[in-house]
Amino acid sequence: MMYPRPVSKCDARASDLAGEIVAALSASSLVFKKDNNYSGELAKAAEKLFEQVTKLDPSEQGTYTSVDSCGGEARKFYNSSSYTDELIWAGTWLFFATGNTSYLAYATDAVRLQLAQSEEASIDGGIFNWNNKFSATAVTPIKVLFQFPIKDE
Amino acid sequence: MLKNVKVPLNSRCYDELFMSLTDKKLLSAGRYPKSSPVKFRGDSALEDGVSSNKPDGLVGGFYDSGNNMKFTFPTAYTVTLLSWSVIEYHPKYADMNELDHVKDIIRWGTDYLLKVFVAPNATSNQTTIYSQVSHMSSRSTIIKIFIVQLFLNIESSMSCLLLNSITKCDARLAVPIMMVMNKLMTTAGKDQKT
Repeated sequence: MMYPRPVSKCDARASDLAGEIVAALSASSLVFKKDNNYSGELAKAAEKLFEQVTKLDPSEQGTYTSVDSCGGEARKFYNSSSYTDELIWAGTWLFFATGNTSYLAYATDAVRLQLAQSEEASIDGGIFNWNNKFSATAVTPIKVLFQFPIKDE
Repeated sequence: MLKNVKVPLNSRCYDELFMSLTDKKLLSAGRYPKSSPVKFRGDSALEDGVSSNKPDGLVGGFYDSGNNMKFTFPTAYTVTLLSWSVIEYHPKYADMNELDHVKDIIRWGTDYLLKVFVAPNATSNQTTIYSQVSHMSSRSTIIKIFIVQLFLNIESSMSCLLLNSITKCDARLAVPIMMVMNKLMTTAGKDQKT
């Protein structure tokens, strides 16, 4: 193109952006399951990014639009109100992609779910959209219950 | 239960699906696929994020809209959602003969998302995530260049079709139009340098 196209850069503190990328890579790795190499590459990248983001201290985590150099402009277009729902969303899909239950434990952590609920339930009436994945994070893990029903002892 | 319902071809549902998938194709950036049903699009933005240590840069992905900006956050969301729909309803996509189409689009997105994230490595101990390509400040330039290109295209490839209808082949009207074009070109050129 004939005009300058600057690039905006973020680091691991952009928890919501990273969370959504992890969810996208994990979910798509299931779509390309037949292509072992590509599917593996997607899942591996997702795991790596999830590790980088979740190892940060919670005080360092934040939304990508709160840092000017990262999402200062995106704020006008796709402002993200919070990041807990995206991290839960990432953990859910990463569990489906890898089968590793530690990701499911992360995504179903009671404290984290309550935090996400308090942040998201009031936004857009809690309806699923690009900024609010809370209702969807409640739907997807139900599949697990169908496959592994909880038996009364 | 839903999975047992066969979707009749040529239904409105099919049309909507096809159009929404084609719309995503329309907004594809980078080396444009020849197989696309959208024939008037070509390669674009092949310099995005290209540097010596990132030779393929951030070429590809999807434009947000006609402003030609690329945002990672909604792109990732789109890929997640399309993937989810394939995971849940792939027999339906197959019934409609659209399974390869939708997988193509998802792959266009994932290929880009793989470029967007750089893990800590030998040169940097920080994780890098690219959130956006192109800024609002470029927009006024884009509009000027778009108008100039529109006129140039009309002149060369469409043989003055529109220009003729405006001017009715009147040479007296053609001159002011050429002057406006000239002004637009020079101001667009100035913007590029600054």
